[in-house]
Amino acid sequence: MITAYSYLQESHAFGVANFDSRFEALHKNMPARSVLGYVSDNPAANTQSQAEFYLTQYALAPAIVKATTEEHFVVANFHSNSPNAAMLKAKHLVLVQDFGNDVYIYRNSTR
Amino acid sequence: MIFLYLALAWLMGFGLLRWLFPAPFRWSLHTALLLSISTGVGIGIASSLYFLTLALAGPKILVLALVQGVALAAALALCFLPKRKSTPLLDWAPGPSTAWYFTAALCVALASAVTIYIFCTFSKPHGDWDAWAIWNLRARFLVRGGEFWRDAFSNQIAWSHPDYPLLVPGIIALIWTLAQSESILVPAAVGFLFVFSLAGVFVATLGILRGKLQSFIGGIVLLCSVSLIVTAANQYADAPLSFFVLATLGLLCLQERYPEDLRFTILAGLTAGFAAWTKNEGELLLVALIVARAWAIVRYGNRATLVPQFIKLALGLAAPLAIIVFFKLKFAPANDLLSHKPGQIASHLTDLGRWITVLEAYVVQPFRIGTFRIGSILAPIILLLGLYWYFLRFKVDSRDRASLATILCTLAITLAGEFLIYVALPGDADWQLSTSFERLLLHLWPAGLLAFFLAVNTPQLEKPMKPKQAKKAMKPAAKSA
Repeated sequence: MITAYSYLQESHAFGVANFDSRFEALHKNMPARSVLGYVSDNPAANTQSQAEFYLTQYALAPAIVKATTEEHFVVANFHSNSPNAAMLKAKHLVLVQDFGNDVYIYRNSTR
Repeated sequence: MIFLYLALAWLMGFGLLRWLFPAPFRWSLHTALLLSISTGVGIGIASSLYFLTLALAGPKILVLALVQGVALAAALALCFLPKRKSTPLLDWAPGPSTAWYFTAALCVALASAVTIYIFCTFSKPHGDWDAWAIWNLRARFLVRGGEFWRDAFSNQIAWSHPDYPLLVPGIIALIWTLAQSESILVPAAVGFLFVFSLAGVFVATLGILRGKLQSFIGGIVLLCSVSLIVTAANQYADAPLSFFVLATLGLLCLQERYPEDLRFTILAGLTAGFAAWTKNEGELLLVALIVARAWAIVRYGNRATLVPQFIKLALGLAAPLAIIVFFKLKFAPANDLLSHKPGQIASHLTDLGRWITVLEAYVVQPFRIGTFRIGSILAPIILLLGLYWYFLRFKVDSRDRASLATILCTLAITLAGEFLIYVALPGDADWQLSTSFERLLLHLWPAGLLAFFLAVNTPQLEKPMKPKQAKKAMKPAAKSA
């Protein structure tokens, strides 16, 4: 029992249910088959960031989510409702729709 | 409802097994073994049929239900068919009596393992990282994708290993489809069934081979391997693979005890095929098993049985292997490890640092398996087993030599193969080892424990005598003195 408890203390619960509910509105409004880019305000090369990317894919399946902004539509997984405008501009991302819960769809104006 | 679908899949396996190994409808060790192996066989058949139906008829729920229903009806018909040839009834091997406290300890270990499983499931109802990044993600693609279900194997999500086989995602997707609900209970129930059926296969096989006491002690050690229970609760495919490795090698051990009846080898072929249908590591195991079995029979067994046994093994293996080949050729993208250029592999092989890193993990990690961690006190199971061996020593029955050689050689070849894969293929060996090596050891752990308890002496425990009995026993000795 103690060993099991220590295992759970060492590992992280990333909150799958939370991601499912945050992305639910977007998921319901997507076409049957879509490929989306991905942008986040998380630091790069970090376990939590990677987990959130995977969880975004898990929540939005069967849409395919790619870890790039070089797609026509890009899903944004932010942690605030005031995204970094300079970063979005640098990546040529134009807001298409705000789905609430800091989830947005952007369009890459160069694609 | 989802439990009913899972029970029906299990019943499919039980029908087939009871046809292969008929026994009266009553509680016995024979029935317990069949019930335990049925989990893997039933789930393997159900997930294979699900994939074949998707591939050949598309995602039509009525066709899916019909195919599964027909398979279930056929399995049940086989179950009740008049028996042509009866197998010997499998029962406890003779041995010393089992004191009540061993039974109590086994019950406590089982209750603890179940509690740990439930506790972990409540903490992480969607499982851990690989569950939502690989296995349950694939199931979601298959269920939600509709006519685009093949997107589950898209190269665009190469990070999720879309070439991995489908036993676990297949059964989850099947039940989600039939129940019309993506219940989180399904993957949790699948993991539960596999890990506790694994314990059932272990105790029953060891009971048939070495007797009740030895099997109870082994069962306690297995159920105390916390990392195995937690990995199953994390909804990874590693516990199902451990199940199939143990079932395959256990059945081959039983084959040595009943050399005339090659049905054990047919079933071992089927479970070995389902191991390869569970994870890519199962394919390496398959190669290791074939080499090890041939060597063990030639070296320790009856050489005349080599060809008949391999024909029966191939018979059991044929269907799952055909499905795996169909999946790999028609749907799965190239494996990420095998897509490395020869130059990269050569440079990894000549890097001494990588050899040392992998060797270090191979030496250290076994001491961490199922470790009991109480504060700073460490009591690795492997050291406890060492102590157990020190007091009891090994004594291998001549009938078990080929069995033991099969298990040990299979495990050795698998470990050697994985060693080379770690050195040669992935980019960062250190990262690969830290994220996967413990789980690779878990695949082999129950079978390794089976080999240990097959070889080690059974403790000879006698009940303490009452004072009157002790006096009686002392009298003749006093007279002769």
